[in-house]
Amino acid sequence: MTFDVLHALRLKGIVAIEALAELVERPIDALQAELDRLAEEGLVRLRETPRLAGWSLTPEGHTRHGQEITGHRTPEIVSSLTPVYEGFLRLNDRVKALSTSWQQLTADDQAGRWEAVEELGEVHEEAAAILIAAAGVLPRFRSYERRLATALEQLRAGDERFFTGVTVDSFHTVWFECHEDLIQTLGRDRVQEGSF
Amino acid sequence: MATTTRADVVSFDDADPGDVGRLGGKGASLVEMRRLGLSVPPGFIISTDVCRRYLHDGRLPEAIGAAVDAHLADVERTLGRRLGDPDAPLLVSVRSGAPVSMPGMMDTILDLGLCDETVDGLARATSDEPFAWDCYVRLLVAYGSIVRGIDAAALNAAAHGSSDEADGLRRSVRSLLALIDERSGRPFPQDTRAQLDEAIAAVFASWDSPRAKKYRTYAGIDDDLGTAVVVQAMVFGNLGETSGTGVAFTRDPATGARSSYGDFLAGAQGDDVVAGEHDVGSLDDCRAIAPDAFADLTRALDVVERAHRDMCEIEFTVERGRLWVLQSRVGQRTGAAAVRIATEMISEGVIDPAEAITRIHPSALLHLRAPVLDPDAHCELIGRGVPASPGSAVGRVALTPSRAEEMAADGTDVILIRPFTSPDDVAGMIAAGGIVTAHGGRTSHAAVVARGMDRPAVCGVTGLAVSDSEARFGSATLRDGDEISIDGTRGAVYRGIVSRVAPASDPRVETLLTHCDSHRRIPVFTEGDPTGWADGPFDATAAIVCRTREDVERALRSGDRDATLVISPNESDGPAAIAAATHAANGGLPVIVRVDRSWPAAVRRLPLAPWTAVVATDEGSWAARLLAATSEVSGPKGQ
Repeated sequence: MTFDVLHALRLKGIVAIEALAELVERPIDALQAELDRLAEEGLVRLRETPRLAGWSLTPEGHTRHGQEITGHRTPEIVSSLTPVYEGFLRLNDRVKALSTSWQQLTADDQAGRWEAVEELGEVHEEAAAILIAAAGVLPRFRSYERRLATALEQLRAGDERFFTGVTVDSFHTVWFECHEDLIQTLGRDRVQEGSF
Repeated sequence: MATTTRADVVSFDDADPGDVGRLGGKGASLVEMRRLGLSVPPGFIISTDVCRRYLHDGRLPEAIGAAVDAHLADVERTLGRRLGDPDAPLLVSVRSGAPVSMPGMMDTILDLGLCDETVDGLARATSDEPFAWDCYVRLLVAYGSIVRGIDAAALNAAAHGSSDEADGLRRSVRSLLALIDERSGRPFPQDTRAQLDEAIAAVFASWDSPRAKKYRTYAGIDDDLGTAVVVQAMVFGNLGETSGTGVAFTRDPATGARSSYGDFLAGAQGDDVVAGEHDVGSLDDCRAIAPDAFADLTRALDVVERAHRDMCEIEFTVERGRLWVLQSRVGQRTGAAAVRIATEMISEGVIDPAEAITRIHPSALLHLRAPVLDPDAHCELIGRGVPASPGSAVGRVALTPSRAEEMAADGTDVILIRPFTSPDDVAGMIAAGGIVTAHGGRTSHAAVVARGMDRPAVCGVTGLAVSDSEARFGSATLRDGDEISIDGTRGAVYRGIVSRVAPASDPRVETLLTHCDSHRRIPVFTEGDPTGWADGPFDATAAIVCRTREDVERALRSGDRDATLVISPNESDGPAAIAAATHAANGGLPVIVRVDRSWPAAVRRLPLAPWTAVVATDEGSWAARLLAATSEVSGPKGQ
């Protein structure tokens, strides 16, 4: 579980224990014990800011995470995940363009809003296939598919925050995290490949 | 022609533009344009009645064929071209047009009428062989996908197999023809009249596409409404030196100034202007190559503005010196232009103040009134980038998200500078008042997040190199804690704190607000004045303050029907809270909207409900006055 915890904290920056428990799929008690142990090692710390409270990595934790993720990056994983990532990148531009146009729709454009959600649904179908393939290599990618599906459900139920909302697990929030996970797992460089 | 079918197919010249139910929105608008005397490419509309019969019987009514023939013959006479004529081929577009906006239907087929014979005729007429063959390729892709239901990916693969030269495009055409034959079991019709019949039937059939049905269920649209089909002659802006295509506005959409404004591209067709791949010229270029068409355009602009009593835009094509108006509609504009146009139209006697009020959305004024960097300040511009999220912000540099959080926790205004953003930057972005990145544009993650939080952002700053210890803007180097100012509306970054000032006072805004005050009965209170609350038409002591949708729903569930909801939306949940409150207000419950500091994020998609009162902080009172007046003049809206 150590790597999963470090990895989740590396991706999200600062995470409340309840949310972290869902991300790493562990009961809170066991997670608490693990966090306490990691804190003793100086890898994680509990932080509170006026806006957010939760666990995050210390600089030592960052370094340890970097070492571990490099260690996990076997040639087999890279070669089987690379085509998956290329599929993801092809969808990435669509998701970003769709998120941008969603933010520019007006209140009275009911048809436009519906169409954007529909198109997001189409993207999700393609993304699901890609993420299920990714989960065949690394099981944690299955959770992104689940979280994207939940965001889409919320959106279809009328909660519009779940398209691009920043403080909820919106489609864009999850997508952004999944992209980062793939980049780190494969050791890619955003600047080199021009995907921001 | 049998009388029963006469009204089933109507020319643009011969219908009642008010009959949207049968003509569809698109058709009615074309009829209206003809009624105004605009020179519209000729065409005809097959009514929604025919759609209903088609859906019932599963085929086009027989009499329709003759009616289409007759109308087609009229179009051919007007233009001197015939459908399927190898020397002077008439090409048409076929579009759907329902009485209400209807996603999910077949939209448009262009250049119908091209076939192996007529493509050469088009090549000769345009003196542009690659263009003619490219049109043929596009027709086959659209036809294969829309009419024959062939997988778009397969069609695109066949279309893009070769080069953009005429020979390569010819090869693409051959592959597409083979693919259509193979996949749909029937060849592409070389008989152009048969193409038209198939396309018309495909539009009608698309009314019942799964996606269209799904939307009707969602939006509560009657399944029996049906769609009309609009068949219209294609005109070409690439027929020689006196042709071109453009878009023109009756007033400047950026400033609202009362002079026509627009873009024109000589020798170009259709989407070239919109696509932005070419450097377009101004309307003066149109005047230079086709003075008569320009004079007609000027008249047309005048006519549409008078008809709509609003600023309009016209899409047009000049074909061999002759103007053709393709579309006219009320134009998009900036907030500044909206205010100027509305107030000037009051002075011109075109609209009354009540109507002027309804034309200004609170978010338009909001951006207009937001503080800007002092244009007279002496400041050092250190970087330019993409204006990714509007507004201005000043503060101290933070180069890491954790630094941004720490500085913000101490009460410092922070501008976060990153090479690009990752998810673990989001907490820092929330803490910061503004964001700068070295990479990425308007659709980057950083831009989407910044807009979602209503933080000004400048992305993809040219020449910016950022590490965790310094940000180098060319020769200027900034470190944590250094002062910086950003303008997310213009995409500019300055060294130091540039003072932020209210934008230059605009007497037009004052005029408009005075009109608002005389047109509203909904009271506006300022928060600093609690006596106003006590005198209001509601029981202030029973008020329930709601910041999220959950708050509103809990208050409604509590069953206390006499309580007053006060909606004070928070930053992240504002739109959802307002949507829930709108429901309550439309249901007749007393709801007060509080316009506070977080208003910008919440107001962007504000529906207009019959609010009981509006409460404002002092600096927000203009938004409150406008909101109160608009809610009242326009009546309840939204959901």
